[in-house]
This record gives sequence, structure tokens and C-alpha cells, in this order.
Amino acid sequence: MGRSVGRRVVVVGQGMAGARFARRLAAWAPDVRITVYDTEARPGYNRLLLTGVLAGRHRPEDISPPQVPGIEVRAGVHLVAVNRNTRTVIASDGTAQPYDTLVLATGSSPTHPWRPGRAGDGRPLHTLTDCLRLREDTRRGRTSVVVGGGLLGVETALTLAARGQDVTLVHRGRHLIDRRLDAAAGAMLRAVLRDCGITVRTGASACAPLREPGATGVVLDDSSVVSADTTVIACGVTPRVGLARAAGLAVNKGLIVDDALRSVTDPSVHAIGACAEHRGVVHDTALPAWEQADVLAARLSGRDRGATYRGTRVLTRLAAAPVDLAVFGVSRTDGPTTRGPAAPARPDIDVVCLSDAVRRTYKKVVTRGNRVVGGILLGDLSTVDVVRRAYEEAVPLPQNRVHLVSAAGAAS
Amino acid sequence: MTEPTGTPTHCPYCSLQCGMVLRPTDDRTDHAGPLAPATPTTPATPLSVEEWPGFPVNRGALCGKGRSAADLLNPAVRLTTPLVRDRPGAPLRPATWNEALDRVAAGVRRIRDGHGAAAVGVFGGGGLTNEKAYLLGKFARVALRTPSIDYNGRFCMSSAATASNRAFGLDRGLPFPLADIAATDCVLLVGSNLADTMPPALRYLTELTGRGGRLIVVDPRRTRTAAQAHLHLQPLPGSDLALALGMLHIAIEGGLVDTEFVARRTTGFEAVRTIAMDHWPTRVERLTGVPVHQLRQAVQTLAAAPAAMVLTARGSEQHSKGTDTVHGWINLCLALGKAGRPRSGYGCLTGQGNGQGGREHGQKADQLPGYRSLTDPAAREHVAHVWGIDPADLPGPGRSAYELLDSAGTPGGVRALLVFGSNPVVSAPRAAHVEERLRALDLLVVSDVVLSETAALADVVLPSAQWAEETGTLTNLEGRVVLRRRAVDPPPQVRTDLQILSALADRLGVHHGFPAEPRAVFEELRRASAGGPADYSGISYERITGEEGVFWPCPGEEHPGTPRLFLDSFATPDGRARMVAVDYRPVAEPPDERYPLYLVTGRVLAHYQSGAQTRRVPALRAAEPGPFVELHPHLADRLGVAEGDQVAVVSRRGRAVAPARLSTAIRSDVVFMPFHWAGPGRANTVTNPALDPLSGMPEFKVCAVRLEPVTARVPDPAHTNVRHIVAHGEAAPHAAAPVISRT
Repeated sequence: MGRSVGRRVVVVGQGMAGARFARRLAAWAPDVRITVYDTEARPGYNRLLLTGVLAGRHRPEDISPPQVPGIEVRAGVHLVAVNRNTRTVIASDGTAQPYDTLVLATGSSPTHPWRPGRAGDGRPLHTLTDCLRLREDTRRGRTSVVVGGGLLGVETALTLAARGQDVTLVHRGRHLIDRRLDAAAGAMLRAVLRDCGITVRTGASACAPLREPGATGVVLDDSSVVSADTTVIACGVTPRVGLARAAGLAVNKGLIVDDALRSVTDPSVHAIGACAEHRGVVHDTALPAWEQADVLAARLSGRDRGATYRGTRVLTRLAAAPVDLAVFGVSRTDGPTTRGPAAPARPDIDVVCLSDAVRRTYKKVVTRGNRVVGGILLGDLSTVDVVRRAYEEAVPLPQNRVHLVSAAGAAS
Repeated sequence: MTEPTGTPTHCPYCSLQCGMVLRPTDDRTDHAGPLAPATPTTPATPLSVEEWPGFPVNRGALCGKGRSAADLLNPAVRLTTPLVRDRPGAPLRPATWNEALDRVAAGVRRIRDGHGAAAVGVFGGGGLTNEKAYLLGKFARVALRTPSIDYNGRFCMSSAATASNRAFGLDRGLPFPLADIAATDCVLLVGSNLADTMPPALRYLTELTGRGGRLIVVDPRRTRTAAQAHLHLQPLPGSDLALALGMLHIAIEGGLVDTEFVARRTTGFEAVRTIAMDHWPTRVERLTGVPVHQLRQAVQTLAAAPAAMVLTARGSEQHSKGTDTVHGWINLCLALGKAGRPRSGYGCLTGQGNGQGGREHGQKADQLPGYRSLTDPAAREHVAHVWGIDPADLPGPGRSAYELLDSAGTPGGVRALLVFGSNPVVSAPRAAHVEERLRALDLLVVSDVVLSETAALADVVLPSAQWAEETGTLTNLEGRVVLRRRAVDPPPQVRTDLQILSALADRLGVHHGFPAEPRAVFEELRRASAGGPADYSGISYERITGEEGVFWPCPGEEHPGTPRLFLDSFATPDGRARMVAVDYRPVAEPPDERYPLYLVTGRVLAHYQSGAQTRRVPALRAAEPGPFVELHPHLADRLGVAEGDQVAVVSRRGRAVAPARLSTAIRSDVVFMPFHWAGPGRANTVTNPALDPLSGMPEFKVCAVRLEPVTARVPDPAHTNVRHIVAHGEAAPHAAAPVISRT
């Protein structure tokens, strides 16, 4: 690692990607000077565990790893500009910091369906601050409305219901998680949520906060009202790329990077996590973020200068009791849609499906030729590993594919 | 229970050290016990094996290996005279003891003079009695004055030993008697197929489940043991540490940590928790392949049990991160408060017959008798005093087993190697390379009962007495010191290892301190171990006989021994167990496009370790005549392989060829090979010698391979040496094994 002596690395953001990267780099290249800027004025934490904090399963302090020597964290300080000519970043406190390598890990911002004006207009579950306030809100109130029935919305609704809240989940799609699930899986999931006491309203857009004296909640597009003490916004996220764009770096949905996770505009700038766009894909979940962080730390530390990131085929998992769900790849085969990937009607597409309404299980694996290209496992994840390996590693399938949806099928 | 007539003694094989009674064969009709020998004994076998119901470990039960053990006494399968090789490449020929020992002594002197004392190495075994292990360590340090000594126990449970020492301040396989397993409420059994590897122990698990206790088994294969479990977790090979961390995460998240116990009896939890937080369930599912709902079920079952045990074996330990992995399991056990109290605790199921005692008395590179450290000045002082030498003359620590073998015949490495009771040509990782290194030695001396594959390479082969022919103590996996008793005289031209060491020391000019009598050696061992962690000073042959074994530590003749450890405090300076912060890392050699599969190596019911003994027993050879490659039908289908087809398992280090055996008990991305055989089917030709940085354990359990169908039968070049003296070798060459058909 002699070559890296004196290198200054500036990391922007200490979310999943940035924190992992900084820790790895510090471990693998102790001589590199690492400065991390983060807009939140608190130590870094594991964002993935926020629902655990909301549920009371984790103490807030337990999701914050201790400071690592060799990393200077400037919490509560955000960057206002990047001067690529002088390789300097300008911070909100007016200080300038030169860098040899800049790593943008700015993550994403939650999408709001309206401009929030006052307390009670709803808040996302995106930061630890959000989480602690929501926890406080739900201690005071008894009812909650969750706006958005995607993965995070469903998980949040389940968490709040487990905390004893009377929860309504409002989703504008025709069924829950409609970007990823087909209608049958969406209906099954809805039944599971109903069993948990959650009221689900699909095909309904929340268009405004309810602002009436003594009443909070949301107003729907059919003018009906859902009153609730607490409103949680779970309408998805968008990559946070303002700084990158202002610095003249190529940005599409995210900051465009190559397989070395370098900006295609400036090789001294890298991006990882939910702000990066790699081969046209923005990965906004934790595992790809960590993979990217590990690859970049290996490259920059000299541990493996040739390390590259080639994308992550990953199952999206939701394991929030009683919901156990995996969804991946081309998972919808129920006709054309503008939302999310659906399998085109091709003759080599085949579907193995097992549905059991009584046990609330739904298992569907989509194959093309002899490869798994997508699927849904809901309620019974006993074959999740077989399916995952078949999908992620693209292993050719045997003729009989029952093993993909039935543990008993493994014996065939 | 009536005292058995005949000679009560213990099995020559695994760490259970089952009690058995040996009776002269011609005597049997008069005193026939209820158990007839399971195997037809040859007329040349002088003893029969019968049950000893009163011995508490196995209560009379014996497996097929134990029952047929007397077949090893058959002169047709064993060495009966010293052998020497006149020049490299020449065949071994019979020699007198004087000639053979003179050759060894002259060779040692020549190499010591030319290359220094460290160029003479010793390689011991976990099957040697305590007396032999002790005297071998003393022989290396006092007679040879070499630091170059280690043993095959390094390949066995060294990772668990290292972790136990760090966590508890003491390493004894089980901190409780084996029978306690039946009385606990939940056992988490990790990487052990004891139904096949130590069948008499299975009864304790059966009793446990019969009482309503829960059994959770972690194994990449659905073994006979796993099939008994209420819950079988089937992780990817090499991912156990992630599994343990994920289970700890779930325990934390579920409020299942015993915070009172953690606060009062442990240190280090904060740092351990930080790392566990990084192992959230869905991440661990991806790393290990174990579904989240099974992870949760396992943790809830373990935590809900009033008392529970976590037991590991080679499956979790034989990795380049084996020590860290064991720490992961210990941390889980401690966090749940399942240690340091009755019917609970972490334990390691030691493998070899004297795997426990063998690691306590000085044949390990860094160790002195009594489980003392070779670098501890007080320990050196004490042992040097017992040995009557200046502490400054004691060599320092030497290389670990694989490093020692890897150095053979290289500049700065050993040029002579004296091997006692070990067969590294079959049992070491990257075995073809190890074989090449052994061939490069100036002098290879092997003392063994049979002409093992390693003995077949030797310049001098010394035929040694075996289990039924000599007296000595062993320490089983419980830390119970037991006594094997001589039941029959060895053949005339066979000597005990103690006699061999005594004679060699004498020839090297050390005329005192190397008694050939086991009792005299044991008395010295007692003094040498006094005050050490493994204190045997209060143990005597008489007490062992009268008390069905004595558990160490036993620091005085009035001391009752210690069946259960840690009930009041752990053996650390502050009395608290240390939770060591360990993080997951991938296997040393992850699968890739060229080598896309995982190879797991292991054991089968009928054989023991390198198979040098069991392959020579007709009933065991008939039960399992040769190696095989176990693979899932889906994988076989993809490769176009049918049951019984010869397949090559190929890694970066070599290839092993054996017939395919199809099984749905294995994951379709993993293949399994037993490692008991030499020749083309030698599994260790393929394995990875990546070493654990703390324990020196090689990564036997996982490496990246590909499978290639083989059409033509492969010749057997590795056995040329054996054929020169086939009368001393195996009754039938096993290597070109016929295709096995199984129903």
C-alpha cells in the first residue's frame, strides 16, 4: 500500500454505502486520510435497521457503530460545491477540503406526495431522526396512515401494527407492491396484512394532508378522508444527485459510473450506493451498496486494484413477521404494464407456480429457456436458497423444476 | 455392574475412547458375553472385543470400527519387522532393530551437524497415548534440541482449542461429561456427523430428544445426524461464522440476550454486538443460504431452552477462519447465557483418540506439558526443572504442522523428519505437494503399526506396538483420563514407541530421562503438568481404574477431579468469559467460473482418519471399499454423470478421481468426498492449505472445484512403493476401486 501514502479521500454521506466504504478503506489502507461529510448531525447508523428501532427491537445507540480511528467524520456538515479543477470540496461551514479521490455516497431522498408544511403533514421513515419522531408520535397517538404500498410502506405498516397502532395503508396502485408483485401475490399479501388488522386501500392516491381543526390524516383523490394521528410517507426515493449535477458530472437517474465505480466524466470522482447509476441501474438496497463499497475500497486501498463491480442480481427480501417475501427479476407475467418489469409474452417463458390461499403462500418462478429470470416467494421461503442460486448464478435448470417451489421437490 | 473378566480397555479409534473388554480368542467360548463379535475374526487374531457395560461413556455400545478392532492385530495386515531402504528408489527391505535404529541415529547426527538441530523435525499424532505424546515432545526438545515438532492434531481441533483458550482461559473439549448432553434441553450441533463418526455418542442425542429436548443440526449435508434433528440448517460451506453472527443479531433484536449473565460473567459484548448488527437476517440468508425463518426458529428454540449446549466439530473448525468461527458460536452461547451453568455450555467434539491429551503434553509446536505455553518463562522454568535441563536450552516455538511439512527438504526447512502415528500423505491438505516434500527429505523415519502411505515413502520404518499391546493413558473428548491396558504381547519384532524413543535417545547420547515403561513416564508427566492448566498431578493409574477415569484438572491426590468446568467462574484471570469480536470473511478460495463448485471433505461410518487402520479391516473395507464423490442428482444431470461413473474432482492443486454417488442429501452446488483413501481417489490432493492465522488449521472443509466425467480407468502410480512389499501392505489394493452399486 506504499503508493497510497498521503492520499486524501473525501466521502460524502455516511449511509449504508459511505459508512461501509470508509470503514473498509480505513481497515485496508490505514495510511489514507479519510474525511466523511454527512448532513445529519449525529454519528452514522445502519439505516436498514430503522424499522427495528421503530418496532422497539433495537435501541438507537445499538445501530450506530463506534467511531473508527483514521476516519474524520464531519457530521452535520454538508457540501455546497465540488470544484473539480482544484479538486476541492466546499462545505456548508465555509471550509474547503482538497481531495485526491472523491466518493459520492449521497444516497437518496424520500419522495413527498405534497410539500410538507406543518407537523402532522406526514414524515418519511428515512433517517434516524424521522424514526425517533415517528416512535414518539405513535406513542402519543393510536392511529396511523401509511401513504405508499411499496416494500417500505408494507414493512412500516406491519411495524406500526405490531406496535398496537390502528393502521391504514393507502396505495395508488391496483394492488400492493404492484411494481414487483403480480395481482395474485398482491391479493395474497393484502390478506396477510388484513389478518394483522391493517386496513388496505388500493387504487387510491393520497393527494393532500388533512388540515382540519383537531384532525390529521390524509385526503384521497376521491375526496374521502383517512384520519390518523400519525402519517407516514413511503412513496419511494429519488437519487440525491444535486451536488454531482452542479459539479458538471454526467447524471441520468443517478450519477453515471463505470465498472470501476468511477464517474464517466471525472476519474477522480466515484459514486456508490443509491446515488449511483451503474449500467443503467440504480441499486437502492443495502446489499448492492455494500458490494459496491467493498469493490471500491479494494481498488482504492490497493488490496485488489483490479476489482470491478458488474452489477448485483439480488432478491429483494421482506422478512417482517408475519410477512416473508422474496421478489426478484422478471416477476410479473400478468400482462403489460407501465410500472415495473413484466415478462414479455415469449414462447420460451415458462412459469412454475404454487398457490395456497389457506396457508397464505404463493410461489412463482419465471424461467426463460433453462434459466430462472425472476419470481415471487410469499409466505413459504423454504426454497429461497435454491431459487436464489439459480437466479443469481444463472445455473442451468433440470427438466423437472418442482424443487424451485417445493422443498419436497428437491428429492426429484 | 459386575467387573468384567478379561482386560478392560479402550477402543483404538476416536475421542470417545469407548470402554471394551479384550479376551483371548481361544478363551471366548468359556466366557462368551452377550455380544458376539460382529465380524468374523481371522484365526490369527488373538483377541476378541466384547462389551464393557459399566463404562459410562458408551455403556457397552460399540460401533463397527470398535467391534472389529482386533483385526488390526492380524500379522498379515501389520508391520512385524523394521524396514530400511538402502538408497533412494530402492525397495524397503527387512532389517534388525539395531540396524534400523543405528540408521536413524546416524542420519539425525549427520543432518544436525550439517544443518543445525532445527533441521531435524518430529511429527506426532493425536492417537498417541499421553505418555507417548509427552515423551515425544521431550525427545524433540531434550534429545534432538529442535523446535521443529508438531502433530496432526493441528489438522483436527486446533481452531476450537485456540478459541476455547482465548474465550474461557482453558481448552477442554467438553466442559461436562458426555452424558450431560442427554440431560440438557437443546443442543445446537454444528458441523458434526456423529451418527457416522462416533456412533455410540448418538444415544445421548436420542435420549435428549426422547425427553422432549430439541436438536438443531448445522451441516451443508443432510447427514444421518442431521436427519435426527428437529431443525436442520443447511448452510453453504464456509459460511458458519455468518450464521453465528446472524443468529446473534436475531437474539439481540428479539431481546433474547441474557443481559444479567453477560454483565456478570463475560467481557467484550459491546464490540461483539457491533459486528452482529451488521449481520441482519436477510443478509445472512444470502451469505449462508439458510432461510430467515429457519434462522429465527433456531434462535428462538435455543434461547427458550432453560439449559442448552452449543457443540462444534470439524465442519465448522477446519477452515482458514476456524478460530473466528468457533468464537462466533461461543459468543452466541454466552450471549444467551448458556454457559458456565449446569447442563449448559460450549463444547468441541474432539476427533482423534487422544486428540485432547495429545494437545496437552508437548507435541504441539508452541507447547509444554500441562498445556503450558512454550513462551511463558515460568512454564519453561518449571518444565526444564522436571527435565533436569537449563531453561535456556529449551528451544522456542516451531512451525505449525502444514508449514513444517511444507518446509521439508527446502533451504531453512527440515531435512529429517521422524513421524509417529500419523499418515500425512493422506491426511494433510494439498497432499500431492506434501508427498513431494516428504520425498525431498534426506531422512524420513516412520513409526507405525501398519505400512501406511507415509511409511511406504520412508527410509526407515519402525514397527510399533498397538493399542491392545501396550499400556498408557488417553484423555477423551470429555477431559476424562482413561487407561488402556496391555492385553496381549506384541509380536517379537515389534516395539513400543516409548521403547523406540528410549533407544534413540540413548543412541543420541542422552542416557537418562527416557524411560520405556509407561508408568514411569506417566509419573513424570504428572510432575511436569503440576500447576499447569491441564494439571494431571493427582491422577494415577490406580485412581483411573477405581474411578472410571479421572477428569482433569486434578491438582492433587485428594482432589476429586473436575467433571464440570466453569460453574463458578471461567479460567481467565478475571474469571469472566471473553467475548472476542470476530467478523465474517469469505472462504479462502471462492468458487468462480473455472472452479464453480464447493468441495467438502469428511468421514464415513466405516473408516477412521487416513484409513491406514480401517482400510485393512475386512468388514470395514467391505462396508465401504473405496472413495466416492457425492453429488446432487441435478448436478449429475447437468454434467451427464450417472451413479457409479468415475468423476474427477479438480482444483487448482490437483485432481481426485472416484465413482459418483448421487444423493439428494447434499446441496446441488456442493460435492462431498471422504478423505480416508490414498491414490487417485485421495481427496486431500485437492484441498486447500490456506491456514487459519491463529490456529494453523488448513481449510480442509471447503475449496473451489469443478467436476469432470472420466471415461478411462486411471492407473495407480501412488502405490508403486507399496507393491514392493505387498506382504506387509494391504490385503488387497483398494485404489482402483470397483464401481460401487448402491441400492
